[in-house]
Amino acid sequence: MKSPDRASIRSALAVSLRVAGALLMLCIAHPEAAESQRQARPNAEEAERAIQQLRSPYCPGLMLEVCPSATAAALRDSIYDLAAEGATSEELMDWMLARHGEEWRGVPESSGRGLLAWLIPPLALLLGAGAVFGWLRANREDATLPGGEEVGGITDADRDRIAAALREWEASGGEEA
Amino acid sequence: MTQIGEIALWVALVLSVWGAGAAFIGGRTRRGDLALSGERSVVAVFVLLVIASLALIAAFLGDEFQYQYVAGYSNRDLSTFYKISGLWAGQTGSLVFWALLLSFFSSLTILQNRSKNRELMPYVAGTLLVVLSFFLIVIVSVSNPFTLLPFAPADGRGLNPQLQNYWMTIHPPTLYLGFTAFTIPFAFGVAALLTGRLDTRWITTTRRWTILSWFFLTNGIIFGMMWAYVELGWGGYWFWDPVENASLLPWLTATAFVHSVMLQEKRGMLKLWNMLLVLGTFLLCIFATFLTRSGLIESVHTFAQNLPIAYIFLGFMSFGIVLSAALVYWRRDQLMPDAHMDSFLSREAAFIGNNLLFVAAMFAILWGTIFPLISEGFLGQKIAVGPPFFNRVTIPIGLILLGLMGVGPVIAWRKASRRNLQRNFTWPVIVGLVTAAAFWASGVRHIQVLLTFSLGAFTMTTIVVEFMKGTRARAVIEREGVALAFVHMIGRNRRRYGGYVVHAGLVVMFMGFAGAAYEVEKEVGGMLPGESTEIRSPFGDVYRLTYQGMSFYEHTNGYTFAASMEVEKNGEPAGIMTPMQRSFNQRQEINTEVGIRRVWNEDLYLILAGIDDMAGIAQGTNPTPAATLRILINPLVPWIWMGGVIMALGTLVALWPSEPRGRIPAEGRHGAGTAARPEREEEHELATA
Repeated sequence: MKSPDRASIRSALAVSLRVAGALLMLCIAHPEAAESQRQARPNAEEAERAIQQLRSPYCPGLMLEVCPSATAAALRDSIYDLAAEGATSEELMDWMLARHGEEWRGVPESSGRGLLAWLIPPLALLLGAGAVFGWLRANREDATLPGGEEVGGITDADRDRIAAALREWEASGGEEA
Repeated sequence: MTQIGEIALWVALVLSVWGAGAAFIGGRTRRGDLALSGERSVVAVFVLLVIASLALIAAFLGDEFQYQYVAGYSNRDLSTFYKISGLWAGQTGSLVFWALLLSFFSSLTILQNRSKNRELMPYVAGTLLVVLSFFLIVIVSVSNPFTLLPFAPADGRGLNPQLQNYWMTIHPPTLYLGFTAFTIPFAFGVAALLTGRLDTRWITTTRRWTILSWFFLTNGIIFGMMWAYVELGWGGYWFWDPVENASLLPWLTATAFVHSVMLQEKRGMLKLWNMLLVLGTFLLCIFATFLTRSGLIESVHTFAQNLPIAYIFLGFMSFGIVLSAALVYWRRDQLMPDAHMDSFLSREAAFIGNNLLFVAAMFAILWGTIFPLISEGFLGQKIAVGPPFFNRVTIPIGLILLGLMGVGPVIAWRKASRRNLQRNFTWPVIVGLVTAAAFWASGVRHIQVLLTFSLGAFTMTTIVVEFMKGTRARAVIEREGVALAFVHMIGRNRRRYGGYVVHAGLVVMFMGFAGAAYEVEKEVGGMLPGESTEIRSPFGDVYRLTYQGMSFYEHTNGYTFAASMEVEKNGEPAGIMTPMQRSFNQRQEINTEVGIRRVWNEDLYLILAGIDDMAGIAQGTNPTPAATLRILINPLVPWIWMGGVIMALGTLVALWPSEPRGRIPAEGRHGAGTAARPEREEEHELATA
């Protein structure tokens, strides 16, 4: 019987190219158009950066960016106006927080007390990964014979033969031979 | 009828407490009559909760505003559809609904296991009844839907306008179905710990419950996203709101469990971890319910702050955590693995990696959600945590998971050889790299978009290749046509191929999320009839919108202001869109109804942000007021919903009961050994999953 691997890989290539072709269609996108519209107002990027990090004093629980109230729209306009005069995002945030209060900061600062918010998740992930890695290593050592040979160790060729047999078994519906 | 409802609640509480006691004592002392009484109590509680729920619905349909809950969430003009949804629209009713669904699933479990798992069942029934007792105590003590007002108002306050939306009527029930369905694996987990029967039986018994719960949780979350998208009028679908986050937490641990359980089933690994995931997921479901109901964390979704409920839930959660920890510690020796990982280049390692990432994402989201409380309590300053924090923390994890979705299902068990890696990953890697290069060449520089599409292409290719290999092999061996081989292949390995379809849906969904990087927004104020504005989509299409005028009319429950916008796409007429604002008689608030024009790759999304002379148009003195419009183009958002549909289909494939071997005619098979052995199907799935 002809090796199904080679044939299926060839077919896989054809399908993969089709998938890639479909995805390429997406490349008709014109990201620069979006950029130009965003920057219709002078220094708008700075204003947007500030707005994205502020909570709305007019919509409890919502960020200023999405608060639909007219007062929030007016506040956004003021921020855009100040940005057009050359203010940086930090200055814009300071201006807003000075007027409305520090509690409207929407993202913890990366210094002082706010740093804790940023540090804990990656630390927890690192600790978790370290613990899992250590545990797995210890278990692997347990499963190794004194001479370094693995318990029940089999060669790569054995594994390939088993994988091929399993595939055939699977394709036939998984019945007992 | 309503009096019957209240009596039913009280009787249900008494029966739950009795049943829980009887079941546990019956299980412990091996008294069959007591155990049976406990199990029967579960079914009786379900019947009583059906009666209570029907009574509450009858009160809504009968406009019985003497009941505080009915008066708070309904009014005479409300349509029958929304009156029925009043059952879960408010805090009080939704708790009854929670208990009703839990009792329904609990009864199903009892009936399914009449002659199975007999050692576990008394404890399963007891655990389920303890949870039901908790909810019933909350309902009758501090959240009784049948509480009477001192007088009967002529009309009710009506339903919150934002809840008068199709997606909102199905979003909470679907989410509750997910939360409550996960109580079943939890109850089996507790029963396994109590009895010491910690083999894989409890896992295989609850496998479908786990997937069913995951199905409902996934769809509940997606329906919530749809509701936010069409109803809240901010142009987005996910805002990392505390209540949204709370629903995502159990989903993440449940997803981790759906994967890691395969390691326990196949190799006897991760027993302790799986137990912790099951217990943790249930406790996170309770946490989600607590967060929504306590009002302790500021959110647009929460019910009003209710401290008594907050304390009761906190107490129950603490009890659950302590009990779970104690039970796991007690049985720690029996939860040790039967096998160890052979290599870091193996499917086991991929699954462990994915579990670590799911739990890390859960922890990061939980941390960000409760950080305002922690900072206020321990640092003396309330520090808000908004979407940029969650995006920065979770997007890298999401991208690694996207890649692992391609690795996990095809890498070999135990230890992958070089040939295995070459055979399975050469073309997916090439397709991923080609995709990245093509996107780069076409000007895409957004790193997250590049990574999403290239990793998505990699994963999608592994899935497609897996389907092709399986179909081809089956076609050759069974001498079947390709279509038939494809159908049979899926039919015989539903869990595995259903899982692949779910992965494909998730890839499509991730690509949809990436579209947000190229969202375009424009706000136009003071538009007068006849005036036009243009907006260019990231795909190069130009939309021209012409304001034709404002319509004002009465709807069933208030008034509607609708702006008519004529749309042209690239100079061709593309219909009329009508973003609206609606006022409601009983609620002094204006609600925004967005206009959406959807094509396969983007949404044109219109929000009527302001009307210059609302009074003028209402009184007829100014029929053509100026309008303020927010116009958004949301690229690839339709892909998110499409991905959701694909995921739902995949889950249904995985959930569908496998065809017993005995039904396949022996003469249609090649080779020996065609005896009917349904249990072999499960083993085979595990071996190949």
